[in-house]
Amino acid sequence: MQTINRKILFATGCVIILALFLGGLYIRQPREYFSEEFLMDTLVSISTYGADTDLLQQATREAFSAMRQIAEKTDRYARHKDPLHTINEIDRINDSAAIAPVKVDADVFAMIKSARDYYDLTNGAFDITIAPLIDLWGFGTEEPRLPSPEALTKTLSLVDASSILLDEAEQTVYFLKPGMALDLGAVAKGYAVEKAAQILSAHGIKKALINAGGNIRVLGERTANDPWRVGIQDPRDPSGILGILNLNAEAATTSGDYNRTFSIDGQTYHHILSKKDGYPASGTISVTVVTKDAFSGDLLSTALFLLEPEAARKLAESMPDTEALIVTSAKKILMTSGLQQKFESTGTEGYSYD
Amino acid sequence: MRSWMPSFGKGRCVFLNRTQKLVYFSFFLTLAAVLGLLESLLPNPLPLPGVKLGLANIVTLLVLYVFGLKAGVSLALLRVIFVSLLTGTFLSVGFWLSLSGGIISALVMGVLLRHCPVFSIVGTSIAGAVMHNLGQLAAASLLIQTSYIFFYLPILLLAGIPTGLITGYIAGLLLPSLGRRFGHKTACRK
Amino acid sequence: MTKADLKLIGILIIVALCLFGAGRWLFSAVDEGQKAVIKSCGKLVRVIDLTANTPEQQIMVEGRLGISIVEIGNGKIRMHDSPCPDKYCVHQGWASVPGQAIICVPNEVVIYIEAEDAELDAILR
Repeated sequence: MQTINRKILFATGCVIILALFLGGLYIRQPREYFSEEFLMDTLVSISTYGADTDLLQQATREAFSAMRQIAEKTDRYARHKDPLHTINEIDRINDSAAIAPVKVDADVFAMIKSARDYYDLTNGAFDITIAPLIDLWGFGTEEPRLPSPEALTKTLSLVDASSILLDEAEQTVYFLKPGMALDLGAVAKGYAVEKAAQILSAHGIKKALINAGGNIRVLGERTANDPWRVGIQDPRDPSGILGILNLNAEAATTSGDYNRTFSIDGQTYHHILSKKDGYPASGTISVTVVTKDAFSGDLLSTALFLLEPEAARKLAESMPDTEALIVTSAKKILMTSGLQQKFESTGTEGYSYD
Repeated sequence: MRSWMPSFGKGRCVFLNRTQKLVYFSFFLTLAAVLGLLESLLPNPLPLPGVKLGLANIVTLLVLYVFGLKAGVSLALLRVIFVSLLTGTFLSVGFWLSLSGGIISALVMGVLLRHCPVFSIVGTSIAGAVMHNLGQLAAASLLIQTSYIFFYLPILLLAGIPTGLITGYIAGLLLPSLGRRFGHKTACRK
Repeated sequence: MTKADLKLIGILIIVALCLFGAGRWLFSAVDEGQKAVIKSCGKLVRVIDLTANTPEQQIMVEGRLGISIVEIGNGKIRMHDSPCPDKYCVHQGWASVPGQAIICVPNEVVIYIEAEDAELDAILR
């Protein structure tokens, strides 16, 4: 009698252990929800982590929806590509802001305002009224071209962010010169990514990675002991990396001269145009910045690209919670002092460190 | 009340009552837990996951010999739980791996002891070490779900041999004195 | 140590070596070549092994705007032609290294080489 009881007890014990075992296998793992969409001229992917996949899915959908809205508001080329396109914010600004102040929505106003601040910070080097110059070169169209020096000089007179008048109370934008136009390409992606990050955070998601090509934003840490590891592409070798950034709850943004280019007569021209002479900026080939949010990261990476490398480093050094890595056209790498802790170089050949 | 029979042997053997057995079992459990903790503190020279010395298995082996299969498996189970509670890894991935490895290893060793006397304590220990690794691998493949895990199979099989040898040898050294105490056949035959 | 023990050790060693050999043979494709993944409009179109033995071929991929032509040869892959205005994807040239990607945004066609790089979570491009 006792033996039978003991056997039953033992068997029950085994069953309980087995159940715990299987249950543990199922319950313990945090899940990952991955989704990607084509937006703003790139493939944007969002990875979110948590126990509740429904929540992750819902949050990701909302994040993408917000990004799509920003993209629609700021796309200058949509009207040319889509016959059914309804006029958007950037269209209204570029069409009428020289005539009378145009009221814009909060997002667009915030983008323009910050861009104006960076115009001052860079002593005019970073200028979002660069749209006429971009159009002169034909970037974003089927036939980019090399403009004549005369055309360049004429168009450069229209590039002047100091002639933007912003009214914060009314949320309006006004151009002092006719013919001016804005291009939000250097700010919209970062703004959208940051908005997406805020949405994920608002849903209570503690760990996520948003990858928009050159704009990466991570929420939380990768694990309790490890940071996120993000590689910086070698500007001259798409299959190589300069090194790895260790990130936690911050944004990393890269601007490079290798992504949108065209060649004529053996010369390659890239899309980050400098208003000094109207030609693509030449002293720098890649800038990577690490900031707390993706919006300022996007602004800063382009802004630093347009400054002389040493001046760029100084500017980044002076800003709080900001680190930068600048690669000059001589393949020299300059870093802000705080970057050492976050960056592991892979010692790529051809590059020297300052 | 019927007292516990030692798992092997008759003759000049010591019989323990339930309380005595419980006390000795607790002692062995503590010993095993301490050995397990000590091992987790030692740095791992090899980068291979799951390759460790398994010193705590010496105790598992001894308990299997002296107190039988059920006691041995319970020891393995409780030891893994205690060590994981103490190191804060309870219910983590590593916990499930250790648990599956430990239980399968104890089960196999216990069965071999009872039914395959051809193996010496060293052979049993090697079999146990290998099964421990395989058990961990099986659990890992369920949790991690890539086929790349099976790359480790040959290495784990081979790694079980030296670790099993060492733990088996040490257990073999200790067994006679223990046997004398609890009536294992090594002592009882005399 | 009994004879049975030694036999056990022997068997384990033999089995381990056999598995090792079998593993090398089965997984050798992964070792030598990379896998290229082609997706269109978010959906998987094809996965191709890029080994030296992969025959030269052209694959028509239906995308949002029309048909992109993906070309494979010599263990490499590229966008041979695409119905997009800029043709940035075509200008990218050949890809063969894990982590590399060629994207035609207007046509929503993506070619990427699977990165076995568990080291990195993302690459800033």
